[in-house]
Amino acid sequence: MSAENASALLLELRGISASSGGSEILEDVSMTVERGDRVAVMGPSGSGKSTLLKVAAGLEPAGSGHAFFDGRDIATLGQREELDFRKRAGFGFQDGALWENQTVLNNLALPLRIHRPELSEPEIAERSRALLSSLGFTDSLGVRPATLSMGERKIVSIARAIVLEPELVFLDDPTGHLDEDARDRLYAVVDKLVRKGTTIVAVTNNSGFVRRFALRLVVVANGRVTYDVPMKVALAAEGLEPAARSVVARLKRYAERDRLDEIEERR
Amino acid sequence: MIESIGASVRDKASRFLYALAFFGRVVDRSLRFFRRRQVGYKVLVFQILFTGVEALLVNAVMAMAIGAAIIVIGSSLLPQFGQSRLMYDIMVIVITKELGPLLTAFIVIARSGTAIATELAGMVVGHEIEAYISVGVDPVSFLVVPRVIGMVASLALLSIYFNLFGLLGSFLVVQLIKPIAFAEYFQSLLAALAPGDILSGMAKSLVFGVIISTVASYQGFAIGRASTEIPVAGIKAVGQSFVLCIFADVLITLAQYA
Repeated sequence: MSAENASALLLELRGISASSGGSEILEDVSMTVERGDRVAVMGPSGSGKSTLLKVAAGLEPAGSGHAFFDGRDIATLGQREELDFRKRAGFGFQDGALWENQTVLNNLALPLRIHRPELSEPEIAERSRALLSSLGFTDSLGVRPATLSMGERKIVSIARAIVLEPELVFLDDPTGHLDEDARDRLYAVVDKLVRKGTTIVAVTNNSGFVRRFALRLVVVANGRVTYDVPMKVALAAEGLEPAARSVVARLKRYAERDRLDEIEERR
Repeated sequence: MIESIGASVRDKASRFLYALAFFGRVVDRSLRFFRRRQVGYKVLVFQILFTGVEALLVNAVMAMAIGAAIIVIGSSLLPQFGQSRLMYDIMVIVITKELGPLLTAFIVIARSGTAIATELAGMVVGHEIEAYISVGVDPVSFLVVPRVIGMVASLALLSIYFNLFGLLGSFLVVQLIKPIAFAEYFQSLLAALAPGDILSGMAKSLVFGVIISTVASYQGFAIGRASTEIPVAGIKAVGQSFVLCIFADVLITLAQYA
């Protein structure tokens, strides 16, 4: 690996396999993510997309293979290195995964207290409030997650993932449970991340999100990466296997709808 | 057949090794707990409140009832053998050394052991543990260690309370059967009570505290992904804690009398 490649490469999965309850979920998955890249992982339900994301983020162990972040094997990080990794890589969960016994404020404040000890409590509260407000969360920050809707939980979870302004953000189904207003606000926040050059790896089947943000399309089917190309060439590809063909057809339909909407607006 | 037995043995051995590794990690993180800037103190305070303070009433009622029972039974049986003076020795042995720590442990298993196991299991199912890891919080340091320390402190506290209320309860019953002055009662108790008795009771409480909290935490973490497994985690925590506490009690008692 050249020095140039080593510095550009932020995340690498090498021969990852994972299983659960005796059934294989991922089989020999390899992929790389460069700094500033925005990767959309798509594919049918149950294909192993979320597991892939969690293994890449070091949240689930791989049965075999290795995941590297900035050249270091995530599975063998020491305590300090692990803290550094967690500070530099945020994770937005599919179902929110908020800490139910903590207030919404504490759900955002805990990462700040750990990784930004120089911040005072009022500063932590202000940062948390500002971030949630930018995502359209207007409820009291003193409430517990149990009182929130699924969409609000998702927003708080995404806010928690980016509160430390990480270099790399993993998003598991970021648009799920969000109404259109919330989705627009999420897009605005992701736009900001894009402008900052944040690397994003998102598992999603939302064609709008993919068309808007993804630079690369990865299709996962039956636990394998079956398609991994830049978005520019994704729509032009021919002779794809069924899962990739279905994803690309959906993206093409979405692109066509976008084009017709644009024509309609011009009229 | 042989293959399935082998697989079962392998599975049990692997679980046992995993449990040992978990215990080792808990011990390691516990030793570091007070040396670091912690975000887990709040969890520790809540654990002491829930396990140590909120269980006081149940503990006190049981202690007074046991103390009273010993006096009632002893005062009717012992005089028949001319051994009335053994009453205080029996009380000290039963309340301070044997039944006190064990019954306190049983109360704590029923209240806090199940609570810890099901709460942690719920957090596993809700992906909250993964969320802690994702922000750099070690779940063992943040969730388990405060519970272990809180549980040990609470059991020591409850053990002292059990002694106080057990002996107080028996004094109240003594007043009904054969009223004696508090000073006389107290002196007789002190004469029967040796420092080793108190130390023995405390040692048992500390060991039980470690057992209950570690087993409950382990069972909470060990579940799969289904919410139906949450109560199972509680049931397993209770069963294993009972067995291990009784086993530890026997071992400590044997060590004392051997």
